[in-house]
Amino acid sequence: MQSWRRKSLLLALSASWLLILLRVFPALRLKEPARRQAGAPQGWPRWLDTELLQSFSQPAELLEDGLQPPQAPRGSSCTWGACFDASRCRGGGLKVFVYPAVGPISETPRKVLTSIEGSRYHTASAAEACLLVLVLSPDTPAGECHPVPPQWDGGKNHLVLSLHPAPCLRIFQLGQAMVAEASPTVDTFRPGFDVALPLLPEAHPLRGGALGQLRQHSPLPGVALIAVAEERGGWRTAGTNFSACPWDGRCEQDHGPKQTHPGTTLPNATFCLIPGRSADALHFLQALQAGCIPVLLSPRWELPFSEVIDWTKAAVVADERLPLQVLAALQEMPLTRVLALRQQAQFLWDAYFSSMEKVIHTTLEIIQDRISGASAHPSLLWNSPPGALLALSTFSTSPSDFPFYHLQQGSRPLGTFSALIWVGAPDQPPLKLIQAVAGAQHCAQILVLWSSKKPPPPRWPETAVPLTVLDGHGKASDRFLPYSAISTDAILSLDAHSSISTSEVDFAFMVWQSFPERMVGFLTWSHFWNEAQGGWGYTGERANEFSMVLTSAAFYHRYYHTLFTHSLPKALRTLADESPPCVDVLMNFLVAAVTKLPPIKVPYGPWHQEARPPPLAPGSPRLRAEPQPAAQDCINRLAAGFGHMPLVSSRLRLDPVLFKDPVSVLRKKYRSLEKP
Amino acid sequence: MPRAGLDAQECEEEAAGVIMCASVKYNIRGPALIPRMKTKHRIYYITLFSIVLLGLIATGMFQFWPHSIESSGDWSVEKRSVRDVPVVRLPADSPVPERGDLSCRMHTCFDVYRCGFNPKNKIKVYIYPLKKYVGEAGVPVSSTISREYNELLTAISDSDYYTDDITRACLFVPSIDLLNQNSLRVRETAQALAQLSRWDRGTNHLLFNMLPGGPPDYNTALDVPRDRALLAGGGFSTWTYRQGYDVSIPVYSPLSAEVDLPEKGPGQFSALSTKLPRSEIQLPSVSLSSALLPGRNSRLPEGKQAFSINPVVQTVLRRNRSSHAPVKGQPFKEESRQAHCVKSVHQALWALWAADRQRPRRYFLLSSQVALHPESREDLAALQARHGEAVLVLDKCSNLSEGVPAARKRCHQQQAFDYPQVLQEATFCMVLRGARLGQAVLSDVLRAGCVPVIIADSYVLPFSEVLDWKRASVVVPEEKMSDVYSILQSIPRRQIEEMQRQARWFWEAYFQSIKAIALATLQIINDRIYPYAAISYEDWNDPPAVKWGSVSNPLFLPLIPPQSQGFTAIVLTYDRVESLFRVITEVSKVPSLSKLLVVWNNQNKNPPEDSLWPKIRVPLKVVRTAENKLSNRFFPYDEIETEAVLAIDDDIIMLTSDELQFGYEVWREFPDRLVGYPGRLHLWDHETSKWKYESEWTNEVSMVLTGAAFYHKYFNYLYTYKMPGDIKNWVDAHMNCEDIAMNFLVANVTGKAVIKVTPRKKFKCPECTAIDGLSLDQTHMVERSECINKFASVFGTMPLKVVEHRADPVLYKDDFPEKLKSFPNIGSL
Repeated sequence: MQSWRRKSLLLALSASWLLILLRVFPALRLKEPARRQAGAPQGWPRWLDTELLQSFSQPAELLEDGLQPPQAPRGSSCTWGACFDASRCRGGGLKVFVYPAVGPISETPRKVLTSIEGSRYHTASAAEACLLVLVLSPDTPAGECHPVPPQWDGGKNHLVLSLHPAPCLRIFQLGQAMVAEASPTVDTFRPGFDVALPLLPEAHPLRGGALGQLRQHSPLPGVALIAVAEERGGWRTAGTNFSACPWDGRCEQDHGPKQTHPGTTLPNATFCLIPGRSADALHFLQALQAGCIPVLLSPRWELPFSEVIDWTKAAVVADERLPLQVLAALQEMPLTRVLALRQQAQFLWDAYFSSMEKVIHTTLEIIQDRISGASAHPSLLWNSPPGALLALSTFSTSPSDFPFYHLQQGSRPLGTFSALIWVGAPDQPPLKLIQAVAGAQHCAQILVLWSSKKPPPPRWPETAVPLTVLDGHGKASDRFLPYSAISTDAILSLDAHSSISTSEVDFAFMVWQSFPERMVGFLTWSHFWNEAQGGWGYTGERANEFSMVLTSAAFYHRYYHTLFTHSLPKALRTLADESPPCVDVLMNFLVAAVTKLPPIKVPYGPWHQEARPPPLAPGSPRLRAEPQPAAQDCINRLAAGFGHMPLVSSRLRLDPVLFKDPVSVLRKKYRSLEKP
Repeated sequence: MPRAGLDAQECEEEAAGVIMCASVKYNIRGPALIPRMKTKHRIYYITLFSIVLLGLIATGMFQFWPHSIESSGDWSVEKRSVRDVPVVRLPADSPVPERGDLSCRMHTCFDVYRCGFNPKNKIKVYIYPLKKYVGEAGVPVSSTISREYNELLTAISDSDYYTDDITRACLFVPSIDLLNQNSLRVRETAQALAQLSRWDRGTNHLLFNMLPGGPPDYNTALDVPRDRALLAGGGFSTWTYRQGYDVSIPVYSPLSAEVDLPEKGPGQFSALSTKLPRSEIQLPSVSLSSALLPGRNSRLPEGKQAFSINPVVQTVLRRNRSSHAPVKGQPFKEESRQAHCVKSVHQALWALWAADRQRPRRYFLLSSQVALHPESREDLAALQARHGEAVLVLDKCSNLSEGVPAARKRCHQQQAFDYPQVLQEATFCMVLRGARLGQAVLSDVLRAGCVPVIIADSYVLPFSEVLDWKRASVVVPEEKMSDVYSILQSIPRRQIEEMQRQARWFWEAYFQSIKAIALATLQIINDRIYPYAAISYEDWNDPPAVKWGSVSNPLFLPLIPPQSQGFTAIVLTYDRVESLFRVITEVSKVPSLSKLLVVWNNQNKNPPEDSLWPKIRVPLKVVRTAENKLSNRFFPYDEIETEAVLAIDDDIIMLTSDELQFGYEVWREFPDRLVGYPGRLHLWDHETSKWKYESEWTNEVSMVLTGAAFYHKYFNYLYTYKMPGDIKNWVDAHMNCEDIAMNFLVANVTGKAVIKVTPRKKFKCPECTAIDGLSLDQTHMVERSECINKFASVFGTMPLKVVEHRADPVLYKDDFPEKLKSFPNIGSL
């Protein structure tokens, strides 16, 4: 008891001590906020009667606001909604008619006409079309402009296309027509209605196109930081160390070491300064091609395809009135951003500007996107490789359905595949092959594409996975139709004659999941330049490198079926139908043109080749690894059709980690890859 | 400092804290001791304690009151009433600014020089002090300030943009409230603007307005003449909007603050939902999300906001990122199998937090606006007649009981609905033009996660300069109103859900509060002035979950670098000169070697004299370091002139020239990856629930040792300057695991796996140098495992990807004449 009393006394004592202590403290404490107050900015006052303030709008007011009649939009200029009748495009499909040339025309308009006619939106009938294109020629003198075409109708649903400043454009009564003009000035450009085109050089190639110059991701050390566009054309490189603005006459004292490049040579620098006068639009494209980051100083013109292209990812648009800030920003720009800008500039060049065909097709794609509204390309598809021309919005508008965007989306392809077995000519049902494939770990379904004249057998073997028989029409390109029965991202394409083991399939699919945008195959061909004949050739001989995999046994993404069927020109597909081995080449061309990467080879047991049936009659030569000499021509015709040779060679094969290593076979997961 | 001491100090310093400490003690001791005392003592002590306690409280109060009274003296400038602001009388003949100049653009009407001295690429904003303007007759020109405008100015004043120095400001915001044109007198307000001290024809002045125009013609921009001032306006049409100069802002919905609307995940109208009671509908997503997050109840507390769930979201994302590659025998194995069914991680994720709030929505299309023109209403009625129950058209309630605010109720044929709650029951919600183009209902619709269907021709959507409205809304031309149902039905299911999430995210980020609106407006203007420091499209538009789940590979352009460039070999050495010279001699035989760099990491000893070094055909450079650190191997030396770098230890003499040349060729095909020789694996140890390092003969690879590896020079830059957390110092302090750190870094930034080259050979494992005996070896493995666990926690994820393949030459071990093979000398040891 005593102790309690003592303790409580102690407690009371200490409490009173604390009280005394606190008496001293306030003096110290109170100074602090006062000090803080003095240094800080005054700021907007906190009103005592904040609570009493009225809202800017009374609920009743918001409720009443609509009782006025909805007013028609005012203004003289056109917008998409007001001046384009999208209902003429039935089913959301763009149909484009182009007025034929009147009289002799020069090279550029001819290329434009050819490009439009080669587009998948083209139609030959003006009545069917919902977009009518009038191509203006730069060399028509102002006095001899075309008479207004018969279907003109006040310019409704018309696109007036002018790749070079045409005198006719200025005097034309545009009415409700859209204008696609090279480097339009920002003042006359109607966003969302007009289309801004790039200013192309006279000799711009029709298709394929001038390849980008970028050979490596990061700038070489020692390369000039800045190249400045000269007024006469050409570029002048400036050193990295300058105190004055290198483009402005007013401060032209110290340029550092400088070098002038004449004519049309491409700049070799990290940044390309372009003053932004209309005449500089050509420089802009040169910079893109060179992989030199364009730095535009208050451009007076609309950047090409600005409606869909996010130029902030590829170019720097700065205010010319703050030169020192711009220079400092360029010098201090982190390497990460420099890398990203460079690559993006180069990607945009390759995807949309490198040929006349791409420029025109991009223009039409933009209009198609406007028509399709919600099912247009998302911005990601326009602004990351391979670009919207190669990522068809008819396939899907969700980026994770495509093989290209899994990283950006944080997604991954479906973990199963569909085996598509093509049965041609007088073949027996490939029972052994079906069993081998059905045993694979991730096989989801087997589709048999029956292209033989014989009717398919009524009964099929029992398999662990569903088996569906599709009717083919005997055409070689049939096998790449986008069948709706295909339910997985991955397709294993097979021939009835292919011989393959379950563990080969398993391993190849594991590899494909790491490279969903590429083809992963077992048998390979390689292409070469034949000096003697002055053309391309290809061979199935075993070599140290390869550039194609045979689709008689290959994994690839189902999107390539859609792309093959809907984006390739009809002429190329016909060519493939006429000469069946060409189908393989064409598919490889297509995938290589999209990815710019080689296919991937995985190990294939040599015993398959021995067990292969003897060479078949010339009727179905595509089953052999060795292409026919007659088919050699196909590769050259395809190269011409693509405008360049897209194939890329690879020197490696992906094997299982312990492949043929001197270690117990029991440790190996894919042991049957080494012995049957 | 010991915890107790710290506590004591805290108690002393805070008056309030004393009370708390004392009372805590009282509470803790009290119950235990009181029962044991005699009653009279108890009463005595209780009284004593109460007195002391009361004394303490009183003292505390005493301490506090003078404090706040005294300090309010300092704040007296601030704490005032709005009614007390100075009054300014405007003479009738004071100048009126010219009407807005429609041709204004940033480079013509904006004086960018005033932003010249703003550091860190940030504009500085000045706010004029509040004044009350009255006309000559003493009639105020407008109500002094509205609640929202006060909030807006407060938000600006609290932000980094604010400056109180008028001479250094780049943007000026008048305190004259222009939010609602109906509450001001146009001409006098303009006069008030013109007499602002820095007005200068409105240059660099920013005006905020949400409700422009007035009866009868309802202009779409503020009618107050404003000369060159920038206008942040709600309800712009394309005719009045000056592209790249004005900013289109939302019309703030007062309901945003008034009503608590728990978030509802994306869901869609389905015919089922009208028939089944809602509680009986079980969604597959529930099981999916619980599968993704083992041991976690799929039920989430109602009413939690997306941001508060973020930690969960992030963990799930991290886990999922770790299981990108096909993972076997590792944690989340089940999960990764489940993930096969999930198209994308973030979708799974959204499904997770949507979990049980995700119910089908009862209506496909809903119109909730009350103030509609009869014509529009006829169109809506026709829609409803044609599509029946799927479409719900609401109107004002005619028979509301007293006290119920009309703004919170909507009716359809005598049936009353709560607004805005009813918006959550629809997949799509109409936003029609009223007399004004900008409608506050847009904000409510977005908040409800309903996809707005905007039918208002020529309306410039809020923040359309930076926001991608295609991802969150459907814009339908007015003349297509009758087709709206079929247009909406053609949108795929998945895209609708994506749009619903996007709509909700737009509301959270840019519509939610006046502050969000103000800051987004200033950010847009800031981005125009400093475009090179602008925020990217992804930053504006991607919801946080997407940002977390995605990887943007810094080397995204598919490029195969030219072979001619070759590679630079970097040999890190300390003092093993003999072995070093052998490595140099061997490496110099590789055809594509273009330079050899020796990093001399020994400060106590000079490198051998020039004459002693092996004579090789490529330039050889010796770099001396200032400190013996492992990081020196990954420094981006200026001497590296090629993109490809071969990091090689000074004891790797067993690699043949063919193997190295082949490694370089493989790197050219995979320039964004680590391409190395000895491969390693990380495994999940279920017993310890930790990562484990594995160097046995396995079928899988997730790392390569940098004792011999090719990689892009850029990764040196990343390692040196961008390594997350304290990993770099940690590695230097432990003198170990620099290779694991590099593997983590590259995998994390590219999202891709390593490439192991060539078969396994008897490697003198570089990490085992100076280690002999099994026990030491085991210690080593333990250390390496620790590294993996440490790095995984710093990265917040396990970025390493597991693969089952390695790269060999095309004809490796094929039945083919050796002399015809490009790389015959591979794997022979």
